[in-house]
Amino acid sequence: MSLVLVIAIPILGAFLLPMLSHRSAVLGRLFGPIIIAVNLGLALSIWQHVTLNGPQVEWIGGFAAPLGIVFHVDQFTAILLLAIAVMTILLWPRRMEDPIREPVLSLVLMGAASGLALSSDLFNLFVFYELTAVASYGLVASRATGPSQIAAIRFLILSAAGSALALLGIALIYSITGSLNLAYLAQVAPTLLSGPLGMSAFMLILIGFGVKAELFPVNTWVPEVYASASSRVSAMLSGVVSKLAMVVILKVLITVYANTSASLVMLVVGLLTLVSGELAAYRAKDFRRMLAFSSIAQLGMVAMAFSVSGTAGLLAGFAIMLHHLLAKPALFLLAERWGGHLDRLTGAAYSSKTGAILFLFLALSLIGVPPLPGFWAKYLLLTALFGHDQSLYYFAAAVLLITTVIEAAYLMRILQRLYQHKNSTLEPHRASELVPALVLGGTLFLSVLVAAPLGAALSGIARSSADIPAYIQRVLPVDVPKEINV
Amino acid sequence: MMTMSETQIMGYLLYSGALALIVIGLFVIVTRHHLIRILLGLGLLEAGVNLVLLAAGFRADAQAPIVTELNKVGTSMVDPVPQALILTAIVIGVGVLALALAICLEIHRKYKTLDLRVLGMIISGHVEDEPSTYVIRADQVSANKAIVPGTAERNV
Repeated sequence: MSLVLVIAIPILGAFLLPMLSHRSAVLGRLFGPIIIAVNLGLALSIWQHVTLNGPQVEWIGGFAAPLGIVFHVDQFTAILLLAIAVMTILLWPRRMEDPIREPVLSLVLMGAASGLALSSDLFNLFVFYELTAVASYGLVASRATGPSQIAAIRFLILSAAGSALALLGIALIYSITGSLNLAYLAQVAPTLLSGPLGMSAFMLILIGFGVKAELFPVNTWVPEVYASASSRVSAMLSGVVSKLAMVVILKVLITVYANTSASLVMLVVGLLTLVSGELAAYRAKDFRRMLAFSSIAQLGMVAMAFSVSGTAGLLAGFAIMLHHLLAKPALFLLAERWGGHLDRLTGAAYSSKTGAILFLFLALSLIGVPPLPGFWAKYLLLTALFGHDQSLYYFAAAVLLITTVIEAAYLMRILQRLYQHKNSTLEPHRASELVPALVLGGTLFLSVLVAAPLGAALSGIARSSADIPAYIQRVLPVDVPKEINV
Repeated sequence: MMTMSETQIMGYLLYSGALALIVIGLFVIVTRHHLIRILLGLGLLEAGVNLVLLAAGFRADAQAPIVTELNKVGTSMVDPVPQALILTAIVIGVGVLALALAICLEIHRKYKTLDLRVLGMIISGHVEDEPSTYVIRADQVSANKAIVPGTAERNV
């Protein structure tokens, strides 16, 4: 079975959807979920196949690497594909009055995000990144209110400038090496890309893809977009799209720039992102902005984890990513009714009991109270940081502990407000928000019960993802001449 | 056939032109406040980046990478990969620009301005949906009298 279908079916579906819903409203409403269900089935079968037979490689059009474009899927990629499909169906717009463009763009986003997960060619990554970006600008603006459109255009300008810089980095890498295949680049990088030009290419790529990965200092769009877009869109962007942008940076970092000063750059950027995110979240007076800044901080932690080379860093990064992927969309769904100034939340626990309990659980997990999954994620990050013998990594671990205190302070402040005695004017959550949020929260809760086997499985996945020589073997099975005449 | 020095000059010209376009583009994006100008800057930036890609595959003494009667396999050709990449990048750039202009049009219909300073004030700190509840006073946007013509106070 072809990996391309995971990308092709949603994008084909996105183009067919307007025509079908023009013919018949019922068919239009059913068509989107059917497409997602098909994709979910495909992702499941890919996951099963990869678990049984090990990572797979597909050469697009039968052209072998390094000339052709390569799709590579390992267990982590398969989990990402599953997560994309599950999140799309959970965050699918259900209301009747929704304009057709939101479902269409959601399908495009699903296809493009799957492409980002699969691709292992720099330019192909760029193309899918841009497709994801265009779909997300449209989704942010699809609410058609003034603030959401202003947020969308500011997001667009920053992101498009970032993409142009990333493309510049890719062009530099091409002009040095004459190839864009990550496995080939991994072979030639130690000799060709360790110089200042190679490093500046990495910096450009980090800045460019860092826009979507919410990295400091190109994350100014995050609070305004998450505050003004619909909660579903915010949940999708902070839950899935930011993770995939981080995965793109990770792919470049561990294949091409392993064992260079790039990981130090990553650590510093991650630290700045974490500290600025937590401090801004502490000062935030608005529930959605607070969630947005907290999301930035979590992505900073992921960047810090990925800066630790080897299995330990990857394991910690994957754990934080998966935890945040489940927790933050649920919080954004709660914010649909709880948005606006924090004072509005006073006494909200009495109008929406389930929502408040879910918030309590998610907040405790985000802070990292044992034995909730967030604790294990932070614990893995701390061990990874302490496993490094450089003083900067110890400093990073100290900063992580301090920012946890800040995180606890602002999340507890909200909990206190929720349970204050006061007649709340807030409407209770609707089922369409509460049910997906409960599904996500419930998944997190279940993961507590199976923590030990889950941890073992995750470390196996991290070990196979960290094995770059095996990755090169798979993508370039025949011996490719080390030099290509440019 | 160019001599070696001419080849070098051509390469320098390509790269310095690309660098100039990138710098001008970034400068415009960072310093201007009008959305259309910023989008023009974005166009310049993208053109500069595409020129870098083009220069990466450029060879002064080579033909276009098309095999014909005259242009047989084996004659030296420029690298076709960057040209394919540029084509893709241009198409993506056009798409993004079209979407950006569409959003600009919507914004102008709602707020009658494309000045990012004014627009930034509208969304900073305000998260409610109703733009009519915000009041922008002319003295807060004193540099932009043209946007708020002749009124001391105005509902946007």
